[in-house]
Amino acid sequence: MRGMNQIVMVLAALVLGAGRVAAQDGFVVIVNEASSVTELTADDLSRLFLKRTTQWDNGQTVVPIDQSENTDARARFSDAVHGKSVSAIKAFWQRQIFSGRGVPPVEKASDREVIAYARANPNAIGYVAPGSALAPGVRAIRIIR
Amino acid sequence: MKRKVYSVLCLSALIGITAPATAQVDSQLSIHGYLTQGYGIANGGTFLGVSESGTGDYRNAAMQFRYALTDKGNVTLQFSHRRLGQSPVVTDEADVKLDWAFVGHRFGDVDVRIGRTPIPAGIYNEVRDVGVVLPLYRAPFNFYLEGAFTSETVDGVVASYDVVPAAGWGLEFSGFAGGWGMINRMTIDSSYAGLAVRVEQGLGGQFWLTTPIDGLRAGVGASRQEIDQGDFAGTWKEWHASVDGTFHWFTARAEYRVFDLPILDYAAYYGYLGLHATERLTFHGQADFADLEYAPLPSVDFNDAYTAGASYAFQPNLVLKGEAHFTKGYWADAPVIDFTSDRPASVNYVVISLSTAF
Repeated sequence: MRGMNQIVMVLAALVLGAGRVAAQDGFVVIVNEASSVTELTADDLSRLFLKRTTQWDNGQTVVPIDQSENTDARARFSDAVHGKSVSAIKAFWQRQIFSGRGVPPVEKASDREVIAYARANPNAIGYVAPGSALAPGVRAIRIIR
Repeated sequence: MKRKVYSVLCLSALIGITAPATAQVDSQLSIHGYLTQGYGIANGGTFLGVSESGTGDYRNAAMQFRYALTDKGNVTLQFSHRRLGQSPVVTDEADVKLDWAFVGHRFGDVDVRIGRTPIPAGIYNEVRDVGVVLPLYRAPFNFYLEGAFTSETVDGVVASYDVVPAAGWGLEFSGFAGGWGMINRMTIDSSYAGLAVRVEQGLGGQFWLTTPIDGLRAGVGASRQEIDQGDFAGTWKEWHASVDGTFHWFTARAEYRVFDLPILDYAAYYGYLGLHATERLTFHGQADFADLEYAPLPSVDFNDAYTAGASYAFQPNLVLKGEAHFTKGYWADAPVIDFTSDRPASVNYVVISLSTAF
């Protein structure tokens, strides 16, 4: 019985740990309260922020929100989600812009601005530093590894 | 004098736009631009406008205006300016030309652009004037033939379709149809000149396969076109294959291309290796070749080019490059030589450039 309890505790720790991955990576992913999205993989997130996936499952156009390139959250998000530096992602967008294929997500300078933008856009997805006060109208989602 | 004024204006713009700039004017309008200002000097002749006396009349610049009509559609205009010294291929080129003008719309996973639109061909065709994206001043010359025989844009339609067939894999198909104007370089009275020709019934496509190895992709493409006049009038067929590996410590690229023209066949291939010593400093090496089949002559070693260089990215959008090119063949502007009878010429040149974008 004691062995069973240990297994349950380990499993619980793994499950709960998965729910805190984003915060452990140094950012929390947020969406508008109206969104039906509750969890995404890191690969899903990368495709959304590189605009390789442009629509939610309901057909609405995704509105990704990046943080300014000099923020800690941007660096951590870029490393954890894209597996690349902010400079490498900027180089990707320069190629997209000057081949006429697209423009990067809108950039906001602070957690507060990201939250305000996500609150005002039902199809928005952004990220903020852990511990940011999430205003009514936005909520955090879980990142699955 | 006019050229000097342009140089001053461009350098002023360079300084101006390297300051922090906001590309997103509002939620619908975004403005972007790039500029590369170069200085080149050659030994043994002139290569694509780089002469033995040296030239600073060497640059690429563009301003792009993109307006989002809806969340799926946009209209994009790009105006460009290019100088290649006194190269015959830019003699009649306007100082500022309408580079792109297209309306784009996304239908699900299909992106459609109609108007004057960049042609997806190989690794660099769509961005071959954008200094901050290119490892060297220009895309490999034998393959991309800057200034002549090829075009960056099509007046017609381009469609791209992205799919994810399996986790880690990606497949992108691009197709284009339409016409375009381009310059065919000709030898007239023992000198080179550019002949403006019109391409019609241009049709082509390209597949890119992205692999689960992060940064590694491979592509193949083909096209056909009808040229209306000159020595090369008739049907052109072309195909190419590309491998592109961009990794943390190095970038490796190789491409192969064949042009099947009415009177000759032209094959070009290159290998490129970039070693990223730091995130900002990269050392470059490239070997770039072209062969010609012109019956009844035996195969001609048309041009061999070796390049060594280094670049330093102060920021991702501000890059200083220095490069030395060693060429032997028949692509030089001077001396003017005949590949059917003369020995190839060796022309070496150096280009130093500063590129920026916003």
